[in-house]
Amino acid sequence: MTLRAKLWGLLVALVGVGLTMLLIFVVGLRINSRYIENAMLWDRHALAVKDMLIAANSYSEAVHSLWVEVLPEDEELRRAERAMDKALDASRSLAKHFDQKEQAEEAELAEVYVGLREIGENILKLQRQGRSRQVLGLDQTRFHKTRDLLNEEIIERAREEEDGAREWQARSAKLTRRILWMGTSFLILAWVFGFIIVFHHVRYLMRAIGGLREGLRKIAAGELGLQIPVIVQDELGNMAQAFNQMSRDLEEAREEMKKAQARMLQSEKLSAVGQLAGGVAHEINNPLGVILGFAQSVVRRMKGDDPLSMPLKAIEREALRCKNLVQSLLTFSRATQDERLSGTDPNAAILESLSLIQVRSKISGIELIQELDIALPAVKANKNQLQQVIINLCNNAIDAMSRGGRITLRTCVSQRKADHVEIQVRDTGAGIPPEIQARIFEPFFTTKEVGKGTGLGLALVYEIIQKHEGSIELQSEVGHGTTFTVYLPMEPVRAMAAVR
Amino acid sequence: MKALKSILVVDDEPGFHELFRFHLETLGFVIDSAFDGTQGLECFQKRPYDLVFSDVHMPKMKGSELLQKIKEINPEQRVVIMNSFSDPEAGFEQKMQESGAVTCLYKPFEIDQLMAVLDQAMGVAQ
Repeated sequence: MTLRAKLWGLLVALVGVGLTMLLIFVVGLRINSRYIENAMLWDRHALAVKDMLIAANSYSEAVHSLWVEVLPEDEELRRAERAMDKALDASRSLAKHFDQKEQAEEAELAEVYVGLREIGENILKLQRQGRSRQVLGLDQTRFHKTRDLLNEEIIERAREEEDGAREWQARSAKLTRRILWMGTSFLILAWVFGFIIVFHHVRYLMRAIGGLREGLRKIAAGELGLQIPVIVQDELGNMAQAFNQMSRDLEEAREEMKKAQARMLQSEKLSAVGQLAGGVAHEINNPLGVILGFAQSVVRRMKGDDPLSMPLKAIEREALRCKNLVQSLLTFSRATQDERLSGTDPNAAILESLSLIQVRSKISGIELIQELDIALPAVKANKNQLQQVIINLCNNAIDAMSRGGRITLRTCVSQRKADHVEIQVRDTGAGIPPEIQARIFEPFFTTKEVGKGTGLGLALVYEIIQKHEGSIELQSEVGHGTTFTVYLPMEPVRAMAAVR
Repeated sequence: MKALKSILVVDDEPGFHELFRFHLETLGFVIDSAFDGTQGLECFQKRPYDLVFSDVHMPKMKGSELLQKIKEINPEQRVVIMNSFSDPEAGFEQKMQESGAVTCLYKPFEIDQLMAVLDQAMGVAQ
């Protein structure tokens, strides 16, 4: 998950927590207000019922007074009746808000009241008719019973109503507590989770940034190629990857620079050798010419059994050795100083070198195989130097195959290096031991017998290839043979077009 | 009997004069020596030679200059140029041949090479 997504997630969670809290409070308060309304309703009902009790008592009082008063005075009764009706109506209208049971009880109560009123109306009727005696004779038991029943009913009703109000109040209080409890626990939970998440992420961020900072510090201190761990695949992970890539690139660049420096040093060394050789060769060639000339001249005139023939032949042999060395030095000097490059066909260079190579390969019984890519593009090269490279590599190959073998000369467009041409010289000779592979391009390094090699051949090859901005690689297996592969940059197409 | 072949050697190195005399006089050649270009020209002006060997690098007058002067006097004169320094300038041999030299001989040369050059030059002369 990316950091951006995480941050958005955190934000959404924060808003979610807030909204949830709001929802809890809003819904809770709404329910609570309904509870409180209910409680108030019950309260009002209770009050109404209590009013009814007063009215009922007044009514009973009025009826009772009719009993003892002879005069048909009904004013008080009517007033009590109206009050009772009003109270009953009020209670009944409130009862509409309640359930069936409540309404049934209400009806029951009204029935009892109707019974009481019947008694009252009856007495009133008798009193009006002037039958007071008959009234006095009436049994009061029923009246008392009905009155008491009504009172009881009303009081019970009042108690019920009060109980209802209390119940709803209790519910409301409980709900309030619950809302507070729920809100608080939710908030605490959110806090704890939030803290854990934020803590975790801050720690991760600190670790990732710390790793990067540490890496940068080490890179600055020169520890190139350093790789830091990629903790999570997010923006910081990408940064760590980019850092690692940069580190690797830097290391490669440094290695490349080191190699370039080494090459430059080598190049300078060779150039110095070349200059020295060029200067010295002239001075050596004259005395050497005299020594060689006399030695050969005298040897020619001697008889084979002359005791001086051997030492003279030795002088001749050693002088020839010097001559070869100086010749190599001069070639080297020339090769390292001639800088002219032009579009050259590597195949042509090879074909023109063949005659020189064949002189030696035939003697050693070596087969020469050509695998030349006819469609090979030109390279920017000095043809003589390129030939020098090919001849030197072939000479080494011949030297490595004293008992015959095969040299394969191959050219192709390189698959490994873009815009490069490959020239390969493969032999089936002795091979080069790994421990000396690194040294074979050093000037004056040779494994050949004393007098056979100057140690300049491969140094010259290396030098020439460097000058051509190419490279040389070697693959060798002791006892199986060696392959030298030369990579040379193709001539740019534009230059080719201009030549054409 | 064939007349003795005469050779002029122009070189500032005395060793080569000794070598030429040692090797060629016994073969019936007459050797004259000059130790620089000017001296070589003087010798040449005194008498004709069958062949002139001249070094390139010499004091007073270079071999190439001497070659030119000799050719001015006698365009038919056979001259072999000796060089102890394979000149970095490409086409040295070609240039010398254009100036009229028979061929070039590079020091240190072997006796076989000397004899081959001699054969070539004399063969042309005969």
